[in-house]
Amino acid sequence: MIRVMLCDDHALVRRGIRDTLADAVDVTVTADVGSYAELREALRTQPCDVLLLDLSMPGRGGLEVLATLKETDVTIRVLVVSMYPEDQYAIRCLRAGAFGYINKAGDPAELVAAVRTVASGRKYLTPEVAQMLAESVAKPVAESPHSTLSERELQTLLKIASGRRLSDIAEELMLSPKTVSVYRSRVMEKLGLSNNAELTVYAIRNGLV
Amino acid sequence: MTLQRAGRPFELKRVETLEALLQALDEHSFDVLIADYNLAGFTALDAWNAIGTSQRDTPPFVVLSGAIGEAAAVNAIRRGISDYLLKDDIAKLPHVIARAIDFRSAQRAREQADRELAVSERRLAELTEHLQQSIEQERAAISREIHDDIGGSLAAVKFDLAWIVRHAENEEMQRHAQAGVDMLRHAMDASQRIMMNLRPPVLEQGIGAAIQWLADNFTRRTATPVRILAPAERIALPPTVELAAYRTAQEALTNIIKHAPESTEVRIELTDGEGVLTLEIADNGAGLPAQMLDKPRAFGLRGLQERARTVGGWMDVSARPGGGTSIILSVPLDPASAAAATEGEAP
Repeated sequence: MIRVMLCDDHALVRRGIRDTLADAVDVTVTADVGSYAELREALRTQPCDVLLLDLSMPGRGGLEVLATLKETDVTIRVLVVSMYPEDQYAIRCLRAGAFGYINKAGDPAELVAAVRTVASGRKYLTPEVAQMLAESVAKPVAESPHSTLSERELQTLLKIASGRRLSDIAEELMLSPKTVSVYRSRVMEKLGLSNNAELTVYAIRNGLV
Repeated sequence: MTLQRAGRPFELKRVETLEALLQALDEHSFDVLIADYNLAGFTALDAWNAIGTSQRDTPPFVVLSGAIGEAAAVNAIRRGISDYLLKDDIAKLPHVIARAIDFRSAQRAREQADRELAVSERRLAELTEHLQQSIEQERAAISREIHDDIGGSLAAVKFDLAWIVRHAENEEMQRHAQAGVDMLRHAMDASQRIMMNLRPPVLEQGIGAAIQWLADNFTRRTATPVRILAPAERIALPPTVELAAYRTAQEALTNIIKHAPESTEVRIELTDGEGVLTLEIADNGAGLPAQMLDKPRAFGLRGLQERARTVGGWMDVSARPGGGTSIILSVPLDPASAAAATEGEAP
């Protein structure tokens, strides 16, 4: 018997989920609660294998609740049931330790399948989520190490090194002098230099100009 | 004597030192100051500078001189004194005074107009900011209401109808219930889309995640790849700045679809180095024609520029025909970098 707990601030949604799960003979709902506070209370007194959790309840911080649960109740498998489309939240919930993500707009029959899947210790992925997960694995996380110069910063460095004044650079790059001055201070910060002369020397030594 | 002959009523107050001059200015209001160029221990220009730096509202200042050189006269006028008169031409004094007074009052009117303009511009900026914030708060509230009230109810009804579909014994009832479920799913998709447009939930995960999401959607629609450069760690921003950055990225990508569909790559850079948030969205399309930059309204850029201003930042649009277009939002994140940014040409 899979023991399920529901946490959603909408009483009618909880009842709907309850009725949906009631059709499955191997599933029983041990508690349904309307807030994170009640959830903590219920978890102390009731057994729970699978928790159906709405992440966007008043008081917010659904993801933090997820993270806390992961630390305190290792055995509980959390299935996130949300009004938000998968593409905005699902991957993040999985990263935060959820075992599955279901959009409330989906087919209710999915609920039973999802509960059974995560109860057996496997992740439940809808085709949409699986697709996104595959994409996120294939795509390297975009990042620029702070040590390397961005294209714009390099442009700025080269122009300073070739003796242009800030206002000339601004004109050539069609940027405001303020923006160029931001780039300039980033270049100096990244290269550990403190004035235009040092920038010029650096550029020459490194064969940039 | 000359003034008496001119037949204008006047009062004369005579001072001999700088201190006395400044004190007299504080105690009375004068229509005109007349000073000899070479005074005891100081020149008329010293007096003028002293008045200028003391932030007083200055009456017209006429220098009377025995022999002021051309250069000194030009220099004096350049410094803002009203007029000068050689002592030989003393007869012209009434005329010079009248002219100086007229000129000064016109100048005062202009200064007053400038001050009023500055005040009204500041009010306008404050109003814009207030409106912008109200709009966003309103949107967030509506989104929240849709989520809590409509969304929840629709979901609940859908569960009930789906239950009827599963338990109905007669086929017709099942068919009707199923039609209801399908319709509800449609309504829920619509409310999700509306909530999305009001305030994308992805923003809760930070600007980096939100921009990544915008870029993914852009690529899905256009098949144009987007290269994102951003720090791996989450950039923490004030909510208003976050929203301004999000809307800027959104608008810039929309512009690319509309005005530079020939782009084969889009580059987005996000960084908060040196206390300034910089967000750049660049395409490699044909570039905005120069005259289009003067019509920012056509590109929704005007609104973005206003928005940048309300969060204390600014926006650059740099484009070259054939060289792509790049939109850069810069927002100082702390007072120090805000001050540094306004310095312009640093040493």
